[in-house]
Amino acid sequence: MVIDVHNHLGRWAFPSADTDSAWLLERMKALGVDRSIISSSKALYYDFREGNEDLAGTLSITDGLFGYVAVNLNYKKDSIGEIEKYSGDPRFVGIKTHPMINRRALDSLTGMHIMEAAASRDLPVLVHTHSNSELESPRHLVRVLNTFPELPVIVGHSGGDDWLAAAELIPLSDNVYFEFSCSCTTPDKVLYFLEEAGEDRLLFGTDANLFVTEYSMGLLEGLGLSAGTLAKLMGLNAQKLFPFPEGVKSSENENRHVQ
Amino acid sequence: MKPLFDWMVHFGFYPYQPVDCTIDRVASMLTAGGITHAALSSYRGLFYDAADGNSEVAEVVCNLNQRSGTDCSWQAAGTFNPQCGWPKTANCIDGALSQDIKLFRLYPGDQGWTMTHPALIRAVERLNVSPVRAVLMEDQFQAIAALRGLLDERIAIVCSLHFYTMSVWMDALFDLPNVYLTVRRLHGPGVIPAIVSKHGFNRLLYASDIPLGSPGAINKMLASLPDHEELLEGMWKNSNRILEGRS
Repeated sequence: MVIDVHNHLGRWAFPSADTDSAWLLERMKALGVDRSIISSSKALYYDFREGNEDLAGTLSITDGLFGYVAVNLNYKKDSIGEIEKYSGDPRFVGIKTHPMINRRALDSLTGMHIMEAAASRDLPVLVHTHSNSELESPRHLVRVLNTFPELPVIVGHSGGDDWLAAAELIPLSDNVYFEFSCSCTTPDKVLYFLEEAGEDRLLFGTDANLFVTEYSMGLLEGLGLSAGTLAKLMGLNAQKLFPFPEGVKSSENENRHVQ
Repeated sequence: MKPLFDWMVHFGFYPYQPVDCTIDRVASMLTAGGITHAALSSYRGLFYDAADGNSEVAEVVCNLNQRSGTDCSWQAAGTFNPQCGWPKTANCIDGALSQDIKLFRLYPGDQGWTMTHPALIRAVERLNVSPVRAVLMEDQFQAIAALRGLLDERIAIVCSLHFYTMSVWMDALFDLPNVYLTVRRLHGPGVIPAIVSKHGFNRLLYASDIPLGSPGAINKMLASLPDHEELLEGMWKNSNRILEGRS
């Protein structure tokens, strides 16, 4: 079972090819990815409601395409409205927030209200973190984890270069998870989290379609982990974490990373 | 094993993250990644003292080449820091040249100087009359504008990219024939194919960023390209062309 917990569809203002769900499905099939959990780049960079709606039009349980409801930390009521709108849809299995793009801290008053709504739905929240700006610092997750200890939170990119700040979150909650897609993820970074957080709280993410899927996959496969640990990291942990609907058909790649 | 030249490898001590940067670790990562040849740089030179770093990397490369088989080789990439002022920069360059260093890696972003720094201008004048083969640039926005007309065209400029400057450097390939891009961060869908479609395999070089980067990630990314074998061969030829002074 391989589950990519950090995916996007939509365009980027970088010189990369415009891709669509057909591209993603082709890459998933080629690389043995069973499920991808996607947020809309339009929802992050522009109108989150329009982006979520676009995404809803492409998600497919049978194809393994699941979604994050994107929220905008500047729009409390509308963000909570989006959570309410999509949380009953079995294709949406989490919430995505990007404080840097929103130019608003996760632990702002608005952000805390939105996290409260997420906690009430028991949906995992994927939070972008990085080291490029203060707004992206993993330290903004401290208040969220302390206030909502039952809320599953995924630390996207695990803090980028500042991953020691992300590692400070490990003891704050048993429900904080770490995902490693990033240009600057070092092999040592993943091994550090493996040692400090254990193998049950690490997740595989690619940041496709900003990245090619192969990049993060090659990094994790090249670490020399045991088959059992790699299987957890590549998908088994995510399978337990996300509220996938029961009876979802799995692809022929189901056992690829299981010992 | 097919030959592969890695233009971005460091060793020493990394002060910002706990990363094992010992030369043994670096060598084992290179082997695991199927990398047979590399330009090696010293973190000591980047973060502390350029001249000390140059001496260190020259010695380490000498030792590594003595114990390597004929199928592997290392090149020392020295550095200088214009922030130290011209006299120190000049001594640093001369010291490196006397140790047969023919590649220089510059870190304007990490060291906080710009490509218009007066000591850099004078340093480039010195490089232009030296046996230097290539200047390896860590990413910086203003580099292209400042470099135009500055470097002799026999010296290759090898750039590592970031998302935000990628389009600037990709455009520069058209009118700066001695500019090469490393594949280290060309991990967006379709980016490498777009470069290959316009320039063939002539302008790309392999770089892993060991020990910070992962050759596993780079190799899997490259292996997914339909013309993977041709790309590897092209990058190897480009590396040799630069090292032989035929950029």
